[in-house]
Amino acid sequence: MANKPDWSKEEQAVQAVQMAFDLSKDIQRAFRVSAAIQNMSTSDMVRKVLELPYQKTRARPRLTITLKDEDFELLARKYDLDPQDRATIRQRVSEDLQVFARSYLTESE
Amino acid sequence: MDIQTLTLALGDSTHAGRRFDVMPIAGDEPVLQVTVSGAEETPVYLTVTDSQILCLAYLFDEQELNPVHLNELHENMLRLSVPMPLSSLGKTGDHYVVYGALSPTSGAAEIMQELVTLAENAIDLLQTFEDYLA
Repeated sequence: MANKPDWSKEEQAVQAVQMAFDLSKDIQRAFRVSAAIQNMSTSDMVRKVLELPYQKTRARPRLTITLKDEDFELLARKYDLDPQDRATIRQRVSEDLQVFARSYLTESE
Repeated sequence: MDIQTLTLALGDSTHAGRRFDVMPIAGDEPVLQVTVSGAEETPVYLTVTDSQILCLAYLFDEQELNPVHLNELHENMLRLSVPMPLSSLGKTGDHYVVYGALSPTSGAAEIMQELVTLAENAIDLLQTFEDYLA
């Protein structure tokens, strides 16, 4: 490139935005992780840090997934099952999730 | 329009039925993270210099793209950048961004218009370029 004009002030501003973006991503991640460890929602974690009233425990801790028609199609292909056989597909999904949880807990120990 | 005045103005205003959540981010140069209601997934980062008010939303990183189609993506980005209202496409570091710049003498209404348009454009662009992601 030929001589660039002096836009150093503007480049500093772009850098500042970049740092703000990276920082806000780190902050969001910190809140998501700390909320998960403390079994809280992210918004309750924010409220806790700010010492605002928050829900002490999750009202309804749950692990569910809403499967759409196309998800059943993909899963049926993965498990080599009929897409209409949703009960068996759900059973296989549940088994896979348990396998993941068990290996994850073993790795974390 | 300085950052502090803008923070107060955005916090109390609606534009085209949209509200603005403003989070100042501390640093050498003050930056605002503005979340536009209805476009929460693409926050806009705003900073003010002597010569412009720069508003910027992040789309994706270079590492997220399929390298095989990179040239085609760049060509499409350049072509789309011209007709796209009030915004242009660019790159800072490894990040692909959509941005708009205003005169520092712009009023709150113009800035809000830019923020709403930019956040909406960012969502449209993420959908448009979805196929280029690895």
